[in-house]
Amino acid sequence: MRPKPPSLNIATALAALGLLFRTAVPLLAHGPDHAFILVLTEELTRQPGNAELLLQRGERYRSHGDLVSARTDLEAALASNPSLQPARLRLALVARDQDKFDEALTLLDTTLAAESTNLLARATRADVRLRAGRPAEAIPDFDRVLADSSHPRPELYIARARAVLSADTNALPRALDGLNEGIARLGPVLSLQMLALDLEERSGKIDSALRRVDTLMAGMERKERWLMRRGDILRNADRGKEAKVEYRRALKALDALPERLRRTIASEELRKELGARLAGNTPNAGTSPNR
Amino acid sequence: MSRGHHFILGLLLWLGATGGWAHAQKLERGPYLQLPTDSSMVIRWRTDKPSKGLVRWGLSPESATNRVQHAGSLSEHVVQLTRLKPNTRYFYAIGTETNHWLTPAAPEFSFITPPRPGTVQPVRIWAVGDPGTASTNQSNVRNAFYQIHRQRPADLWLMLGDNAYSSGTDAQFQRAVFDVYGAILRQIPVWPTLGNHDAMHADSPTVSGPYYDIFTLPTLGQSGGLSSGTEAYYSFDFANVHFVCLDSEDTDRSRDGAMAAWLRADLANTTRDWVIAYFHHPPYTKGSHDSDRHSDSGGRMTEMRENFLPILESGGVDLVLTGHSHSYERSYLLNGHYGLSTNLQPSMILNAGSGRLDHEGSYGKNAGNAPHQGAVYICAGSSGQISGGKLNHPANWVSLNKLGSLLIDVDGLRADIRFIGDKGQLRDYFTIEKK
Repeated sequence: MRPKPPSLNIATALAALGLLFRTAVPLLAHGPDHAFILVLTEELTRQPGNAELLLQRGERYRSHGDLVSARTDLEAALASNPSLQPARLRLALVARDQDKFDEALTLLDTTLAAESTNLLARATRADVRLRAGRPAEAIPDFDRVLADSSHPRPELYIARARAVLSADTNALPRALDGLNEGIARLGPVLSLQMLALDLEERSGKIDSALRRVDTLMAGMERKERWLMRRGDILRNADRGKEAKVEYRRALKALDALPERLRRTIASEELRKELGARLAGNTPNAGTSPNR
Repeated sequence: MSRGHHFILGLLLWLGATGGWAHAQKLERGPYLQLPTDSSMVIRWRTDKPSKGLVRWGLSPESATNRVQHAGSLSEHVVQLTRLKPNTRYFYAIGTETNHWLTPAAPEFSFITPPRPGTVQPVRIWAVGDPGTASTNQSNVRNAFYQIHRQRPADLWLMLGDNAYSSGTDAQFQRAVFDVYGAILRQIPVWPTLGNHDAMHADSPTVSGPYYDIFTLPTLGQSGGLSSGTEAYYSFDFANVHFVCLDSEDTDRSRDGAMAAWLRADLANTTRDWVIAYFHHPPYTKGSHDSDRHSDSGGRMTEMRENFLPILESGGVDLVLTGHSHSYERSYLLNGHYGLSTNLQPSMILNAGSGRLDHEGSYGKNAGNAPHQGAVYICAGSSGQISGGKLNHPANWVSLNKLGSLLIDVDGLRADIRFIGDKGQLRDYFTIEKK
């Protein structure tokens, strides 16, 4: 999650704006960010150690991927004003992006101790805990972020499901429940449905998986790959006869496509794959309906 | 009569003429059009005071008598018109529940609904990249487009990110988007993508901030395409064109991420003749950014090139539009170039010509969105400023440090793409034809 840049105080902003107007024409040739960094740098020569200015410049550096300069500024901002939590949070993001997970977690713990409802800090801590190989600790943070977010994104549900599975490989049902919770809240989001489908198949819930494919397929213009996926689920569950029915349906769907879509390399390859499955020449394996 | 009496009389006359206190309400933003489908349109606007926003609409200014109103008293008004007919012009006026109209139902307040998905008809698309400088440059680029637009209007327009400098605040969106493009926003729906400057006050993971507050974008495939579950990336159809918007700034760009999974399925599902993708960070640029430098822009250009171009090309993408570098850089017809510029192989250039019908001829592709038939990549980030650079990426057929915007005309299996300068100059053009 991206933190909002802190606002400059009025005097600083006016000074920076004045300077920007005086220098705008030559500086804008290099882009507004570069210009703004130069303005902030010049202002910092007048106000050395101004924590807000250092925070602003550090965030500009961070957003452009210059993590070394960002770290220097953000550390200086914190040294100047240790209670400036936005600087601590941004420094945690820099540490995360530099794979310094322990440092990032220490910074985030401090921020959350001061601001327990800071969603960005909590989501970042969940992410860092996951990256640091501490999935069990990430789960409560994901739970809290999802509960407190007004518009949670699918990525958060997927990350939580992965954390659940990383923490306990026997937790497939719990991971699946979490994804279904996301689908109930966000709607039939494809990325959630596809992961849920994989988990259902892995946990042997074949009928649920088939129902999910049917639900997904109902909204699709092209059904041939989803029918093949249906066949694969059945085949992997040792229901070969039913699988072949689905492969034939997939071939039929392929034949029903307009010629411009039927006569493509991808369609020809799919036809061959279906033929091989019908002939029983392919090993059991999970397949994705995606090209 | 005393001065006091004059004042009271004047006030009463004004109230009588305007219909009540509600008339003091002022239009601060809009109207602007969002989330078009072949049967609906979202109209949004902002007023200085809360009210129950009202839209009246119809097939002519005179018959604009259908009414729809949103619930609650708000300053940010979002009203969806439903049960519209495809490919039909509607006239509308916005106002308050007290019948105080903030705009007339007039030709300048009208729109045409999209055709049914898959319909083959001429489509005109306007695209601006990094426009949001609120400068004379931006106005000039807009004015050059308006000259063309007057002759044959665009059907939709794309904003390729960095829509409001320098940090995507609401006030900056007002100056760089609503104050500049007001006339077109009320007639043609805009489809934006998030730029790094917009993202400074927007947050994709929580879908919050001005960018997300301002735009109403599809999360459930309302306008075609598959459900992404987020406004950060989405797809939609217009006629025989499938559009895909990716978030290259603030969403997981990994190959096994949710955006990648959604994109694979979305592309596999489309039956449209054309696929146009757009996002902010260019895969091939040597402008004010360098796509070879991994540290540039936090590796976003590299990640989009390495992780998303293979998916897009497998899905039969035809055109990829980006910004970020403040220049115009347009590639050859390419396939399979996912590495650094030094790794570009001749075999990756499927057509080394200009793509111009009056020179070496158009770029040819097979119909049917077959994978790896070639795509043209355009960085068009000079709609508000130019910032130079080496401009020598070998994947690009042309690289210009010039202001301008893109005009794309799709007609059946042919697409003509033009880069129009800030004074209306034709700075580049090429054609893709499918057979």
